[in-house]
Amino acid sequence: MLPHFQNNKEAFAAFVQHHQQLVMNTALGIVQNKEDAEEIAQDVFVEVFEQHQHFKGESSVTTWLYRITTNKCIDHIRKKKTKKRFAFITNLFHQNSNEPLHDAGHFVHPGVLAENKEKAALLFKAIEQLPEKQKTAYVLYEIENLSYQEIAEILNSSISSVESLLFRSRQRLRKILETFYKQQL
Amino acid sequence: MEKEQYITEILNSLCGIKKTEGNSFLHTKVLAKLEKTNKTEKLPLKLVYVFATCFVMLLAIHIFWWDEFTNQTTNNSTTTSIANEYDLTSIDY
Repeated sequence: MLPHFQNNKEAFAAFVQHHQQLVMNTALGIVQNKEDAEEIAQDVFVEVFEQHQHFKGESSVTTWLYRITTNKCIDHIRKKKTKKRFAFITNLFHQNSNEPLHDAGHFVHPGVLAENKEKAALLFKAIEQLPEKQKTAYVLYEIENLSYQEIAEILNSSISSVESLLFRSRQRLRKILETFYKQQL
Repeated sequence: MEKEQYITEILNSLCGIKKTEGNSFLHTKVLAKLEKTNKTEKLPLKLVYVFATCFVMLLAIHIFWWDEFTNQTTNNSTTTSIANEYDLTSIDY
């Protein structure tokens, strides 16, 4: 069980310190933006602070944290999509609108090896195009190195559905990368 | 063949990926956010439920009353039309 964070601020500080890498890394892999990932990490720990008494210990703390993080990331992506749509509409009517229509550039994960940076940037560009669940499963498997069992617990699904999610995500990525290949010719 | 190699190389580019370093000020930022959320006054959930129930009850009473009222007027109008048809409205019957 978790300690009572409201009465034990030091325990909360230690908890944040211990788990921040897990939260930041997962968020960064899914949302592909450092500032957004940091904002999500803050929101995750705010929720942990407020909701930790509801944590019953049915799953491990890390599974619980991964679950909160992935849900926050998905919410964030949805909000961003709505914002983009709204920006597109407002741009149609107001040419001087300040809402950005496109993202700044291609994301490169800071943990990628120097020699792989260019290829990884393309991979992240392709990952961005995956549907939410496939993207989450792929990031958890490939970046967080979690097992099928752990991913199934985080996504509240069965191992076989995680297997099929990952299979479909790889197939889709292959198709996207094929188009990249054709474009660069 | 070249295409397959290109795809495989890109798919394998995450091999050896390292975890990102966390932000050393994250805890401070979280505390600041917590303070901010505590400061913004939230309407108690219980109060929201009480208001919502009252609103639904008032709405139900209004609908019921409106239904009764319209039924009464239609009943009145049918009675009047029958009376008119049989000439029961004249004074000297």
